[in-house]
Amino acid sequence: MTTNKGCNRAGDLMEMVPSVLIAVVTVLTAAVVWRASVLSSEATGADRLGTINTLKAAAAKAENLAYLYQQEADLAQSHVLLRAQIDYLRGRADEFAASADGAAVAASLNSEADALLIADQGTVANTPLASDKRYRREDNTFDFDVRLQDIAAENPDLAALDPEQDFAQADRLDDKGLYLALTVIIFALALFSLTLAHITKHWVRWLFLSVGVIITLAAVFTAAGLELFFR
Amino acid sequence: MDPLEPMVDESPRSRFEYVVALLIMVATLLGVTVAFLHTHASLQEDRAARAAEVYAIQTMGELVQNGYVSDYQAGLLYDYVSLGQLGLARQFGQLTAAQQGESELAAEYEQEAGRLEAMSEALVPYSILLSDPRYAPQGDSIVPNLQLWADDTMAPALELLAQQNASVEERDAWGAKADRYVSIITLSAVALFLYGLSLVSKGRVRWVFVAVGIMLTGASALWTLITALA
Repeated sequence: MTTNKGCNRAGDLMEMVPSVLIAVVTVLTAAVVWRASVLSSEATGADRLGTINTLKAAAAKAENLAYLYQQEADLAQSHVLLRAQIDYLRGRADEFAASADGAAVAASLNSEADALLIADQGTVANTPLASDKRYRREDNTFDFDVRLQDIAAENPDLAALDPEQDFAQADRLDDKGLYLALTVIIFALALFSLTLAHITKHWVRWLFLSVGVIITLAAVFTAAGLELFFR
Repeated sequence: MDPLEPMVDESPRSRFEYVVALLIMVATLLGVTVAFLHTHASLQEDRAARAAEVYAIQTMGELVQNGYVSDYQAGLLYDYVSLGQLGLARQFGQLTAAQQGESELAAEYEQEAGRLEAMSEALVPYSILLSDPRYAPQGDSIVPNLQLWADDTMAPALELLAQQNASVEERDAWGAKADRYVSIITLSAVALFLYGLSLVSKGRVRWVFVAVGIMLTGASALWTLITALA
């Protein structure tokens, strides 16, 4: 009688162990799925931020282009036209000055050139594109690219926008979530083995139970490793 | 332990439950695998959609830039032509005045024509349409190669547009794949439902449920394989 009771107790225990393990693995699987879902949500946020920053950067560039081409370039062109007139008038004045009776005309031309020079210096000559040698190419034309870079640098917050960094962060989070989803398959394999342990008997049960526990541990270590080392 | 004792309880009901439990586990494994494949396909779909969005924004930015550059270059060309025409008109005036013996007026016209010509020529180095040999007027022509310039200016935007379209196609392909995986998961869920129903049914009908469940699981597995390889 006592022996039978002992056998029954051992049998109950053998029934209970796989059941408890199945419950534990199910909870672990749910936890991993929850964590993968959280990561996916964070990745969506980073993705969204990247797209917003791409838009911000594009809008900032459009503003800078508008300022450069519609204001500074116009002023610089006015400067070029004024300088062309001044050079022409000075050249003509020199020609007249060289002739015997051209001194008065030369003085008049120089006077007009002086007036234009004052007008140039007082207005458009000070525009950065015209006054800063850094914005001049070797052929003396304007280097719009360098000027555009400097205009962009004047607003450090917008210049520092880096959507690629946000997208890279989103990709990392997504990859981590995907690998965690992969561990769910390992947990499912563990469940499969533990279910077999639950419905079989004798040494086969122990075999399936051992395999189930090993697979579960492998899945747990994989998930923990991903959580700790995958940044 | 009696070595002749079976590994599995072989009473009819227990054997049936044993088979159904195995089938449930197979369907579950298949479902989990398909869920993983669905996650992967959705991820790729999201990434392609994101790339398409970024390309669209970049295309827009490129078009905006083209607008400003074109406006500026067209303005330079217009000023160059206008000043040149005004200078030419002054030259005609100078000739007429000289023919009529108005030497002072002729000198004024000459002065003005020279000034306008100098202003017009000063713009040439700043205009890509006049200074770049690829676009500048050739031979006797006074018209720059505007078509070539427009084509070259639009090329980066068109390339971005092509990349955007390719990303959209990629997104659609991954989206269709993800949708198919959802259908497969639904099919697996139905199979699981039938297996569960068979456990609470009696008689032959439970085997019918199991048979249909096996068919659905098999179809799901085959569909998964075809979708994954597509």
